[in-house]
Amino acid sequence: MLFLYDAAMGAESEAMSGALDSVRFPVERSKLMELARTFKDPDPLWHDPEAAAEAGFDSVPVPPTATVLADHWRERGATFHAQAAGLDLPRVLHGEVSWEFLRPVQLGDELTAVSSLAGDETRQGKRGGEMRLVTVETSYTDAAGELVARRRDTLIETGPR
Amino acid sequence: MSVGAAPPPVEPQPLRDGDEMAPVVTEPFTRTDFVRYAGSGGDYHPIHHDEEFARAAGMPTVFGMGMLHAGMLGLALARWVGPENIRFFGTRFTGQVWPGDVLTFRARVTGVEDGLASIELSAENQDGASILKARATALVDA
Repeated sequence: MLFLYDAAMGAESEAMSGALDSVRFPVERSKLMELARTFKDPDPLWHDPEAAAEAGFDSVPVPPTATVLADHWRERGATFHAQAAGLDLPRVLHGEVSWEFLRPVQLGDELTAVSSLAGDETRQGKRGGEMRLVTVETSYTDAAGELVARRRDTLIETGPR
Repeated sequence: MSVGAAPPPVEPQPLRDGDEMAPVVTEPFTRTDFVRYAGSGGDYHPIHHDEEFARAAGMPTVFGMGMLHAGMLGLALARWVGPENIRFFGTRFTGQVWPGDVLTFRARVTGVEDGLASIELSAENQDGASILKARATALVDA
């Protein structure tokens, strides 16, 4: 069951092949502050323009995983893609994730994340039983329509117990 | 890492093949850390905060989201090479983080080509078990 859900528009539309969702989100101060503190790095330069300027940055830098902020704009948060791909949540593990950056993400960016299903295969698990591996690709474009980053996730559904 | 630590570099650093990041040792992870990441990172998978759900799923207890320790490692990398110099960061989760676990993050340059360093990163727990393997590329001052 795949469908395109545009959270910003609050509208569902016909799915393109493999399309999961499209969500527009701000890279904002409060969430960057929370994220850095969660990562045990309370340095204000990760959210405060003055502190960042003092450290020599033209704009506030972000952790490389900051595109997770898109998940706040998905109705069901980070598990949305796994659920949209029909995976059984109690058996889902995050296998891999990677980001390619065409330019650094910065405080103030207004990004649009478009995700699609790039792979869905079944493999034999190491401990017996079948594993399902679902690959999700997400592109992030800025307000000017420029591609900023690409992300690729592998979700693993382990065999029934 | 703490307030008062040197700020991360802005400009690409003069890193060479074999250079290593000073290892980063975390504090013991707590259930509160997991809940905090649920709130800041938007991951409400109950397996990370709901003890009954985790046990029903066959886990001994709740465990940390991969994106929590991957995020911490990413930030450590950003402090080493400069946040705006990272061009690729990719990780494979190889083990789970349980309450009480202490992780050690390591990173090492494995090659430099055309001003771009290839970096291998890892996280191990207090028993030496692999929790994560990662790769990154970063602009360096060649």
